[in-house]
Amino acid sequence: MLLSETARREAFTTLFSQMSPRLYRTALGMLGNPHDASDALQEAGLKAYRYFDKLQQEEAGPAWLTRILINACYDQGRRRSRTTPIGLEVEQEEAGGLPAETDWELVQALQTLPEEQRTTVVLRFFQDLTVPQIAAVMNVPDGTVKSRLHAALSRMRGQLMQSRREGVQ
Amino acid sequence: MKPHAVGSACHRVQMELDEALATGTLALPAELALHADGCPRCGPEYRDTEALLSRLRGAAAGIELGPVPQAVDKVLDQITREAAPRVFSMVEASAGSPGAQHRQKQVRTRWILGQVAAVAAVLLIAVGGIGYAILKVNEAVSGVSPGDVLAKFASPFRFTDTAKIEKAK
Ligand SMILES: [Zn+2]
Repeated sequence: MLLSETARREAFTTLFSQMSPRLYRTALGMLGNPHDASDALQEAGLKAYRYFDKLQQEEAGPAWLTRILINACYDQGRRRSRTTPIGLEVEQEEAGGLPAETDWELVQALQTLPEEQRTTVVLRFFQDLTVPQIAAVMNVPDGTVKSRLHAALSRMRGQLMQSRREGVQ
Repeated sequence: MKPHAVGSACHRVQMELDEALATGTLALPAELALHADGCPRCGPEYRDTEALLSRLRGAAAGIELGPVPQAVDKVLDQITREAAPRVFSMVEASAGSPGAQHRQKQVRTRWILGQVAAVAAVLLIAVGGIGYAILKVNEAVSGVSPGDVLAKFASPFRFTDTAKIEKAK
């Protein structure tokens, strides 16, 4: 009992610590601000530990953890949409000065996408997953991933082209 | 804008760009890239797609990971606290803070007392059950009811009490 409990905690700690930068990037892409991303990461970590026994194969750990994080982001997004009008929080945070290295214009463009399209783009670029890997995480066919990615990137390309044109004028 | 003629270089570039939006990877064959670079019809779309994909890849790498260590620490602290009541390890108790050690000691004492009480209750029930079974067997063999046996067993004590009462009179 003592050994298995300790071993369980150690295995989880290793997986979670290794995955946490990727998970945080994903959460930031999904939620658009560091505070919510950090909350989602913590919520996902605690939930994952509670259900860690259900993880059958060690190699399935990253996809499993990613799925839990995505759900935590959906929950976080829903809680936020009940309390904060969309767009308001982002403007306030920008005024407070977010870290400069992050491409906030792009992160905010992501926030305008429908949830499933945003998840697909974030998994593709922020976690560097392939189309079949995204399909496995989201439990949809490869074709669905491709059509979501196509719709999302076309829209983002249009938005960014427009904002560049507006910036030039 | 007029659709590109099927089979033309512009059309082939368009097909490649569609595939790039669906997979997130743009790899034009050299001769098509050369065409797109100088083509006023498909060139802008090619450059915008390439810019978007490279910006998405760059955005992931540029995300500030400042909040990650703190979020990970909070999760690991929390799961260590949750695990403490389940693990009665002296090693862990000596590693923790005095407050945590005191809490662990309290939990351990409560657990031991609970175990002792449970064993006592089981023994009491077992002794009662066995005694009753013996009395029933005795009744079947000798015809003496359990009540009579108990009365006979208790009579010496009653006699003493009566003698004391008589003496007091
Ligand atoms: Zn062309």
